[in-house]
Amino acid sequence: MLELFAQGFANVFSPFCLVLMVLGTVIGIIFGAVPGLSSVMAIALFLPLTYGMDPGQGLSVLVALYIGSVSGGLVSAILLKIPGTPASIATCFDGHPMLARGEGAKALGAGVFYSFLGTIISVVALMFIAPQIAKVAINFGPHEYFAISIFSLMLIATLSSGSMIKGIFSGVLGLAFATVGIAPLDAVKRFTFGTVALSDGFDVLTVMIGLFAVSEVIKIAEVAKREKASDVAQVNMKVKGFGFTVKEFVQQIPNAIRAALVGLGIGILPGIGAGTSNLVAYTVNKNADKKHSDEYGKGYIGGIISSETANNASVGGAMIPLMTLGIPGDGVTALLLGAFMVHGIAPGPLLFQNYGPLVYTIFVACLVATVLMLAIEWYGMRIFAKVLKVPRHILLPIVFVLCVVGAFGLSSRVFDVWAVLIFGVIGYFFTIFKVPQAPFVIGFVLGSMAETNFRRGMMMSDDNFLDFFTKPIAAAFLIFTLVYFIYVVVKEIKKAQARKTASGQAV
Amino acid sequence: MKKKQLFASVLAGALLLGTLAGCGNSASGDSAEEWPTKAVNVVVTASAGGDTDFNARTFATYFEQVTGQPMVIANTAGGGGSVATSEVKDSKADGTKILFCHTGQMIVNEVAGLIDYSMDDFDIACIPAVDKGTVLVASKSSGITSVEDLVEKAKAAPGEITYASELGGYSHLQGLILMGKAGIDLKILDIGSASDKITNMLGGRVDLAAISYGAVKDYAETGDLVILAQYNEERNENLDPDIPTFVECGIDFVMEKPYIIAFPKGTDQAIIDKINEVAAQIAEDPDYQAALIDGYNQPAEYIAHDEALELLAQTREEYMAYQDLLQ
Amino acid sequence: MKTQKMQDRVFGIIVLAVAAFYTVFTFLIPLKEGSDIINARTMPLLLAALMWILGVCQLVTARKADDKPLEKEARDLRTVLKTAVLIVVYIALFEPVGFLITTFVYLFLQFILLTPADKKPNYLFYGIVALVVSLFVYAIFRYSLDIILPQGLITFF
Repeated sequence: MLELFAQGFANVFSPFCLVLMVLGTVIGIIFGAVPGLSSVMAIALFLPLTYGMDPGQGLSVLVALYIGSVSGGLVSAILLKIPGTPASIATCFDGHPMLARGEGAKALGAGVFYSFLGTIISVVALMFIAPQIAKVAINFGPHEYFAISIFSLMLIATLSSGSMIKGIFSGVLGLAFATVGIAPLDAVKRFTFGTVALSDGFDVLTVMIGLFAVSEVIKIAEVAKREKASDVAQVNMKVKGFGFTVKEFVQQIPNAIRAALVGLGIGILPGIGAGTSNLVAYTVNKNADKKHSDEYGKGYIGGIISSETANNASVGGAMIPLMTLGIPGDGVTALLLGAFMVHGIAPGPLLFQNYGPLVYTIFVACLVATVLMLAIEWYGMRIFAKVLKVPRHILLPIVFVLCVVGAFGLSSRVFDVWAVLIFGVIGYFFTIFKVPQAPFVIGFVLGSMAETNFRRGMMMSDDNFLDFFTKPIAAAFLIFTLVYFIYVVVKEIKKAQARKTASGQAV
Repeated sequence: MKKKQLFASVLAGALLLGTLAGCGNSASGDSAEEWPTKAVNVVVTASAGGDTDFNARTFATYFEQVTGQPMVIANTAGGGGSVATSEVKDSKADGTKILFCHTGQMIVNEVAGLIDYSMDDFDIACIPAVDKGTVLVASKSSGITSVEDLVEKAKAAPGEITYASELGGYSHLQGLILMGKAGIDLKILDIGSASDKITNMLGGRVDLAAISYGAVKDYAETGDLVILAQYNEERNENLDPDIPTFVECGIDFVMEKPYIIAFPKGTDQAIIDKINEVAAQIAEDPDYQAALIDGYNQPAEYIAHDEALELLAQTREEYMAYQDLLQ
Repeated sequence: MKTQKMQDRVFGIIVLAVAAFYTVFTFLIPLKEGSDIINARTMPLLLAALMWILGVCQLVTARKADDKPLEKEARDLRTVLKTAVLIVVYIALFEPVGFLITTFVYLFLQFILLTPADKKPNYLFYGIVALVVSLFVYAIFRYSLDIILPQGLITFF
C-alpha cells in the first residue's frame, strides 16, 4: 500500500499536474462562488482537456475542480447571502448575520477550515473503508429512498425558526413545483399547459438562483435609493489564523463530527448529496447542540461549521460508490465516470485491484486538492472580501446577469431564464411574508425522488403499502419521521401556550 | 427627470431593435454548398457522461478536424429526450442546429406516445454510429445462468422473474420484445437509470436488466452479476468473446441501437450530403475507431442516408407492433 | 400590512388560493387507461390536501396573532416595479436582440436605476462597466465553456 501511495505521490507531484491542479482548484472555487455557475459546468469545461492526459493526472485535475467548487459556495453565501451552490444554502443562515455583526472574517475562516476538515475526513473514509460502506448503498432500494427523502424533508421543513406552517408550506410548494413535467413511470404530462418547455419541468439551478439570488436583486431595489456608503458592511480582514479560538475549536468538535457523519452518510447514497446534507446536518446539530440551539440562525459559528463540514464530507462520500461500484450519484460524478470511460476504464468492484496505482493517484489528488483549497481560500479571503467594496448597485445587477447566463447555459434556452425570474418573484414574496426559502429548494430536489421511489416501491411490492414498514431501514426512517413530527408539533404548541400565559399576565 | 427620459428612450430603442431582429437574421444566411461556415449547434438527447453524449462528443471532435468548424454540444436530457427533439424539429432549417439522438428518442418515444410527431418530421441525415455494447444481465440472487435457463425458469413461473427498465423507454421495449420473441412472461418494473439497475440487482431486488457491457464487466468477473447474452446480430469482438448472441441461444432477437443525426425538416439536400461525406470520412479514421472501442467497446459503423432511412423505417414498423404494450 | 394579524391573514388567503389553483389543475391531469390506485394524480392530490390544511391552520392561528401595528418597513416599490419591468424586457429581448446588446443596455439602466439618491450616476463609468462585463461574460461562455449565448443582431463573433 505504501508503495502505491508513493507512486500516487510521484504522479500527482509532476509539475504539469500540480500546476493544473492549482488552476483547477482556483477555477472550482470561482465556479462554486459565483451564483449561476456550477460544479458541473466547471468540470465540463475541463473534461476535454483531460482526454489527452494520462487517466491519473486527468482525474486529479477534475477532483481538484470538484473539491474547490463545493467549498467555493461558502464565499457568496457569507458575503452576499446568496449561496453559490445548493451545497452552501445552510451557510447563509449564520454566515450573513456574522458578517453583519462585523465577524465576516471569522465566518469565512471557519467556513474554509471546516470545508478542509470535512473533505479530509471523507477522503480518509474513501481510502480505508470505502468497500465496506459502499455495501450500505446497495441496501438502499426504492422503499429506502422514499423513506429517507421523506425524513430529510420533514427535518428541513420544521427547521424554520419562525412559523412552522410557513416552513412546511415552503416545502410543499417546492414539492408542487417538482410535479411539473412528465410524471415518473407512466409519463403522463402534468401542469405543462400544453407547452413543450414545461414537459421537462424546472431545473434545480433555476430554482436556487431564482429564490436566493434574483430575489436578493429585487430586494435591493427596495432600499437602493436610500442606501448610503456607510451602510455597507465591511469586513475587517485583520485576523489571526482562521479567526476562531482553540477553545471554540474544542467546543465545536461534537458538531463537526456529527456534521461529517451526516455529510458522509448522505454523500454515499447516489442521488442525494451535498445540496441536501448541509441542511440536514444543520438541523441535526441545531437539535443536538442543546445549549446553543437558540443561537443557530443568528450568527452562530456552529451553524457554519455544520453546513461546511457536511457538504464537503459529501464529496468524499460521493466518490465512494463511484470508485467501488461504478455508480455516479450526481451530475459531477457522472462526468467523472465519463472521464474514466474515455480512458477505457470502467470503475467497478475490481477498480482497486486492477488499477491500484490509478486509485492511489486519485486518493493523493484528493488530499493534495484539499490542502490546495485550504491554502488558496485562506489567502483568497482577503480578495473575496474586496467584493464587498464594490457598491451594491453595481454588484447585484452583475450577479443577476451571471444568473441569467448560467440558466441559459443549462440547455441553451430562454425558458430557463424565465424560470429564474419566476422563482425570483416567488423568493421575493417569501421575504415579504418571512417564509424560509430553504425548504422550497429541498422540497423541489427531493420531491421527484420521493414520488418516483414511492411509485417504484409500490410497483415492486405489488401495491402493498405495508412493505414500507416491513423493510427495516425504510421503517426506521419513517417511524423516526413520525416521532420527530409529533415532537416538533408538541414543542410548538407548548411554546404557543407559554406565550399566551406570558402575554395574559402582561395584560 | 433627465434620468427618466434617458431610461425611456433607451428602453424604446431596445424594443425597436427587437422588432428589427427578425429581419436581420435572414439576410445573413449562408449558402448550403459551403456548409459549415460557422459553429454547428448539436442538441444531444442525453445528459453529459453517458453513451449518447460520448458518441456525440467523439463525433464532434473529429467533425472539427475534418471541416475546421466546431460542433458545440448542448445536452438536453429532459422529458426522455422529447425536449431536445422538439427543439430541433421547430428550429430553422438552415443547418445551424442539428439533433444527435438514438432510436430510443426518435422511434420509441413516438411508439410510447410521448411525442406526437415522428421521424418523418425531420430530415434524417445518417447513422454515424451504432451501439453494440448492450448485454442482458442477471443478478446472482436470481440464480439464472444462461438464456436457456432464463426461458426455462420463466416458463415454469410466469410473471415471477423481474426485469428492470424505465417504463415507456428503450429498455422497456427491449424487455417487451424479449418476452415476445422468447415466448415468456416477465414482471417489468420501473427501476431507473443504468446505475439504479446495477444497485438494485446487487441488492437482490430485481433479477434482469439490459446494461452497457463496460458498466457490468467487473461484476461479471466477481460473480455478482451474470451476463446472459448480447443484443447484436453477430458477436461484438470487443466484448468478452464468450457472450453469445440471442440468435445463438435460439431466440430470433437482434436489437442494435443506432445513433442518428437529424436536421429540421426542409434542410437543403447539399447540407445533408455534406454531413454524410464528413461522417463517412470520420468513420474511416483509425483514431476515431480506437476512441470508440476505448470508451464503449463499440466498433465504428456508419450507415449512409438512404440505407439509414430504410433501416429506421423498418425498425419503426417492428417496434410499432408493441405500441399497445408500451403505452 | 399594518399588523402582524393582517399579514398572517393575507398569507393564509394566498396559501388557500394556491391550493385552489393547484387542486383544479390536478383534476385536469389526464390519466392513462387502467391506471392503478396510485397514479400520476396521487402525489399532486396529496400536496393539494396539505396546502388546504396549511391554509386553514394559518388562518386559525392568525386569529391569535398580534394586533399591534408592525414597524413600518419602508419599501421603495416604485424602484422594485421598474426593476421588474427592466428585467422582463431584458429577458424578452435576450434571444432576438442578442446577449451583448441587451446585457449592455440592461446593466447600464439597472446601474442608473439603483444608484443611491444622494449620488450622481456616473454614466461613463457605468457604460464602461456594462460593456466590459457583457464582453467578458460572452467571451468566457463562447470560448471556454463552448456555450453560444444568443447572438441576435451581432453575428460576427
